[in-house]
This record gives sequence, structure tokens and C-alpha cells, in this order.
Amino acid sequence: MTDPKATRGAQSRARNDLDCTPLIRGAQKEWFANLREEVAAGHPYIYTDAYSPHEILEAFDLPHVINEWWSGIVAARRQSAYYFDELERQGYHSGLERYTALGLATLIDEGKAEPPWGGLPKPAFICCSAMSGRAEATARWEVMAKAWDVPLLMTEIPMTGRPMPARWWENVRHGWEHLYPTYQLDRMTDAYWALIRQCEQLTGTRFDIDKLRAVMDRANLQQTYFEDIRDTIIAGKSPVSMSEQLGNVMTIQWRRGSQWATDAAELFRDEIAERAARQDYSCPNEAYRLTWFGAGLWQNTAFYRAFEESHSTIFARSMYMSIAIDGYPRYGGDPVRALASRYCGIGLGNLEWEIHDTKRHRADGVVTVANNVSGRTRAAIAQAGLPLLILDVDLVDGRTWDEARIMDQMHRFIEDQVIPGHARH
Amino acid sequence: MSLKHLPETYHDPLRAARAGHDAGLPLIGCIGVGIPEEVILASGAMPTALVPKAEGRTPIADTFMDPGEQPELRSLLEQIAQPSPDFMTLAVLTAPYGGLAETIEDLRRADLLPNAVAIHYFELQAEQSDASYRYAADRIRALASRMGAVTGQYVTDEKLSDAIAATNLRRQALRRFNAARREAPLISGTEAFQAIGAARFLQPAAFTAALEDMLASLHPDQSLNGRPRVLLIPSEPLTHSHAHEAIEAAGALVIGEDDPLGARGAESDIRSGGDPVQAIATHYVDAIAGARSFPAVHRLNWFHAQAVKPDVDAVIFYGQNPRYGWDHPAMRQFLESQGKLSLFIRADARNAGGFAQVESTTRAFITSLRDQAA
Repeated sequence: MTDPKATRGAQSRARNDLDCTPLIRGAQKEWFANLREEVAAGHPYIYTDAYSPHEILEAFDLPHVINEWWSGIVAARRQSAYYFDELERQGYHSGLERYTALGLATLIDEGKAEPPWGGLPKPAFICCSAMSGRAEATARWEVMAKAWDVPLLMTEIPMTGRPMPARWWENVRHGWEHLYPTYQLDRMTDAYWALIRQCEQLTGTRFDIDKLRAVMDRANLQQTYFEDIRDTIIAGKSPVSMSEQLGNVMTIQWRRGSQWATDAAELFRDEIAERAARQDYSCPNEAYRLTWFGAGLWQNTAFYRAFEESHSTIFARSMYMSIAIDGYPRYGGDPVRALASRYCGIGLGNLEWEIHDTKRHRADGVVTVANNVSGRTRAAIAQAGLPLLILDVDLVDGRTWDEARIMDQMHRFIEDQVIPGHARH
Repeated sequence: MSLKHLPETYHDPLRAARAGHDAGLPLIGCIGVGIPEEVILASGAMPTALVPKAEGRTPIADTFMDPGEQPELRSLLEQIAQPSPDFMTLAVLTAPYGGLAETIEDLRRADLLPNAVAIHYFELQAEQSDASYRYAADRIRALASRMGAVTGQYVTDEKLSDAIAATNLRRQALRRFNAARREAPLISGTEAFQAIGAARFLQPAAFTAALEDMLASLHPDQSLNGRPRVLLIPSEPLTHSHAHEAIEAAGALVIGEDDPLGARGAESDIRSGGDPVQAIATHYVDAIAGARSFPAVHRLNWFHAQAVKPDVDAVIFYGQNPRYGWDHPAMRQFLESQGKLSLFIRADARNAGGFAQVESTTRAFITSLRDQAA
């Protein structure tokens, strides 16, 4: 068997400070091991993506694995270089989007290498979303469904050509019905009922709308715990590093609506509050703050802590926890329609929100990678008076990592732009 | 009518629009493939495609858009942001330009695009299902309502039926043209693609007449004999003919392209009789081609049917947009099973380097084809 860890790419590992972190991550690993056992025993699970309504699956007690999470796991285990080589060897050219391709890569590798945590078991079906702006993903999902020989249920999210309403995050939790065009909301609601019918067929159980409501309530509650954490990070020095925050938030978020996720978020929140109360910070000499813009640098989350000692600089903000807080909660009304409204426009990438959130985190600069930047991003960040560094590296592909070059770029950015900018303000 | 009329129109796409404008027709700019122009025609307006320009200054777009952003988007934003005064009444955008529409409206909301033309975003669902057809009919009625408000002419079923009749005549002419192009070496792929492409800039009747004239005048072209006959499979609809030009400069003949702006552009008529809105909805949902279309059978059926035909010597995949290509290994495997050779080129023929790359790669491919045949 090939050793996929014969790696290129970053080698450093992030240090964790929180007591809850090994508990959360251990529980996730255990959950996945149990899932593999249950699937082997004939129980169904669903392979899905980030833009699908996981709460519906949860309401059917259908365990689900999220493609983006799996990509993150593979990348974090420094196996991406091997799998991307393998994809290209099989004819998938190097220009194809990589961030969400690692699920397919581990599948079609057919066990030539040892995948993380024993690998993905075969799901009952794939449940994913399609958007005209990401049309290239459609074929990838179909390739994956064919490789597994499972049905593919794809929900199209209709685009409206309208930007998110101004300051949407202030109203969306309760006022979602009025934030999106009715025709879009109607269509999405219909599509989710089609998914519900599919789940009924698979499980042989009738959909229980009260159960979905309870799942939504738990998911909403979970986000309030995250909001407490964000408030703490905003209020003073950060008690949690970005690398640790990312791992914990996403592990919880991908199981949102379950009792485990709600409890884990509360545990995480409580420890952050305790650390803040005793002034136990992840970087005690924290002086400067950065925001990471866009999807995370999953191939090397240790990067986020690499400037604490040398430059008293931390990454205080990424989109992941903030979108969970501002974009996910939905209160009131028909829970299926409420859920549909989330995916009519979740707010991810909305520049007004990104900049507002960056500023409330008191960030002195923005760092990202080229793949995360398009359209108005650069102009909007400049207009907000924030220095921006765009690294030429892929989020998950370890082959693109050049430690010396990236560190040099970061050091110069902090010294030449972030620190002087902080002094001016 | 001059035989050069259609290629000239292709190279000066707004010429007919200017004439229409001078004659008092409201002009509707169309961005993207799959906008039901019958609705626009029924409102008494003239649809004309807005084509992204690979070159040329884009000072307004440069202010807002990232330097790495696609030049197409930059060019289209520029055309929306700074149209000729009072030239265009409305721009209709469709997939994959939802993000561009959002950007335009976002900038407009911030008073950063004071002269931008009004826009209407129109998108259909790609899945062929009853729900998609219902959704499409609803969106078509919304477009009709917007067009009526813009032009002051109510879109009636009768006017829609007239428009359907006119565009169906054009579809029939296009099918005859494509069949003739395929049957014998009458015209280069570049000229054929340009002639077909002119449909997006002319009124249906004018285009149909010009295409019929062109077809009647075509005779076997000896200079095209003996060239390897290739199908072109572009990664996305081509708004230019540079890929065709580069491939044919290398010595091949493009006999068809898997492109709604080319040989796939007129596969079927819109059903006549009955509710015209429903007929238009069904037609445009079924006609969605390319990366959005699913399941795969809809996306790949034209390729599967055409590539196996004996008049196809080889297939060239043109990967202008590197985002696309997840289907490619399976398509290549299919070709191998059929004994067809193929070439995959990742380049952008709109720039000099890319053009040269497409040409040289194709030339080497043709040599290998000939060696194999020998």
C-alpha cells in the first residue's frame, strides 16, 4: 500500500490549548468509526455537501458526512498531495477545483493508499446542491455517484441576481421570509420537500415536522454558544487560537442539530469564558489581529499560529464561526421553509458582512489565497482601509506549499503594513 | 445580400442593433445563453447579445474587479456600466452570470454605477422535471411582465406565437445549414461558426434570409478536402471563433461543435399551438446544455451521438476555462472504446500565446493522425 504521507507541503502542527479540543475531536473520530461499523452492518448514511439542509437528514436520524469536512480531514492529514497526483494520473486535469475534490480522490483511489480514518464507506445516496455559479461541480458529483453506484439527489439553488439586502445579518434570523424573493423561496421549499420524500422512502419512516423543529432549535441554540465565543474574542485578547477554533467549530457545525453538537458547543463556550475570566490567552502578548478571508487553509492550520511569538500577531477571525452565527440561525415559521431560506442566500462571501465582521473583530489586516479572491473583493477591502495579502497557495493541495516563501511574505506584510497600520489607527 | 453579411455581423455585433435603434426599436442586451428571446420580440423590442471582448480598456470594471478576475466579466461589466447613451433599454442576464448581476446591483445600490443600464436576471433550473418546467413558466411570465413595462407593449399569447414562428424558421434554417456543413466540405468551421453566431445579433427573419442565401451559394471547397474532420468540444459556450481559427490554421476542418452557440444551437423547434409560455418554458429547460445540465445523459447526449459518426476523424477538447473537465476522462474513455482519437488542449485561444498553443498542439495531433492512418 502506498504511503500517502510521503508528503510534500507543510510539516508543522498546531499546538492546542483547550481541554475541550481533544474531547471534541476524539468524539468525532469515534463517531466516524461507529458510522463505518453501522454502515457495514447495513445502516444507511448520506454523503452530502455544505450547502445541503443537514437538519432534514438529522430529523430522519440519518448520519451524514460532509464533503468539505472530509476534504479538510484529508488535507489536515497532509495526504492531499498524494491524492491530487492520483486524480491527475486518472485524467482529471490540474486546473479543476481542488477544495471539494478530495472525497472523489479518496474514493477512486480504491484503497491504494490508506485514507484517513479508514476511508469513506459507501453511502445510501449522495445529497448535494447545485448552483449555476458553480456548475462545474455537477459533473464531479455525478462521477462520484457513478463510482459508488449510488443515487444522486441534487437540489438546485436558483440564483436571483440580487445581492443580499443591506445589513442582512441584523434581520435574517427572524425576518427571513422577507429577505428573499418569494419565487426563490417557494422553489427551494419544494425542493426540500422532494428531499424529504426521498428520505421517507429510504428510511421507511414518515417525516416528523416537530422533530425537524427540535433539530432546528438545537442548531439555533448551538449558534448562540458560538456567538458568546465570538463576543469574547471581540471583547479582549483571544482565549483561543484560530487553528483550534476552526477545528472545533467545524467539527461541531457539521453535526449541528444533534444533541452532541449542542452540548459540545456549550462545553467549548464555557471553557472560552473561563479562560477569558482568568486572562488565559492563546497569545498572551497579542498586539495585532488578522482576519483570514474566505475558505480555510486546511492543508496547514498551524499557519494561523505561526506569528504569535515572532510578531505578537494572531488570526482572530475567519468566516466559519461568524457565518454559523450570522447566516445559519432561522427562527419561526414553517421549519422546512425556514431552512430553505438559509440556502436562498446564506451570506457567505457577502463583502459588506465580511468587512463588518472583520472590523468588529478589530482586525488590522486581511490574509487569504488567490482562489478566494474574485470580483470586488480586493477593491472592497482596500476601500475599508485594510491591508490585504494574497498568498499564492492552494487551500488543500500540499504540493503548493512553500514554507520559506510564505513565511517571508507574511513577515513582510505584518512588518510593513499591519503594524504601521495599527499604529495609525 | 452579400455573402459576407453574416461573418461581418459576427465581427461587428452591434451594427444591426444600431440600425434597429435608429428605427426606433428598444434594444435589449442579452448576456448568456438560454434567454427566451421570443418574449423580448413579443414586446416589440430587439434582442442583441452582448459579447465579452477579450481586449480593450475597461476602466470602470478595473476600479471594482480583481485583476485576476475573468476578462469576460470585466468586459461585460464595462458594457453594462457605461453603455452608449440611451442605446440600450435593458440588459437581461442569465446563468452563469448571476454573480455578475449581483455585483452590478450591489454597485448600483452604493451609487457607484450611475450610468449603468437596468438589468433583469433570468435563470432556469437545469434539471428536466415538472417542477423545473413550472418554475420556468413562472420566470418567463416575470420576464414578459418586465418587458411589457419596459417597452409599453403588453406581451400577448398571439405575439408570443408569432415570435415562436419566426425563431422556429430560423432554427430550421440553422439545422439545414449544419447538415450541409457536415455533409460536404462547403465551408470552413470558422466561417460556419461565425455565420451561426450572427443569429444572436440579427432579427430572426433577417438572419434566416441571410443564412438561406449563404447556404444556396455554397459549393464544395476543394481547399477543405483531405483535412481531418474534427468535432470541437469546448469547455463552455464560445463567444469567439479563435479556437476554430487556430485548429483550422493547423490543417483540420471543424465540422461541428458541442456548443449552443454553434452546431447545438437549433436542435429542436419550440412546440407551436397550446400555451406559448409553457411551450417556451419546456423548450428552454430542455435546451440547457453544458456544465449545468444534469443528469449526465442530457449533458453528453450530443457528444455521444455525434462523435461516433463515421465522418468524424477525431475530437478536440478545448479547455478554455480550467474549471471544467470532470467529464473529460469518461468522454475520452468512450472515444477510445469507439476507436476515435482525441486531443485535450488547455489554453485560451483569445490571446496570442494560447492561439499558438492550440495551433501547434493541433498540428502535432494531425501529424499523429496521419501517421496512424498511414
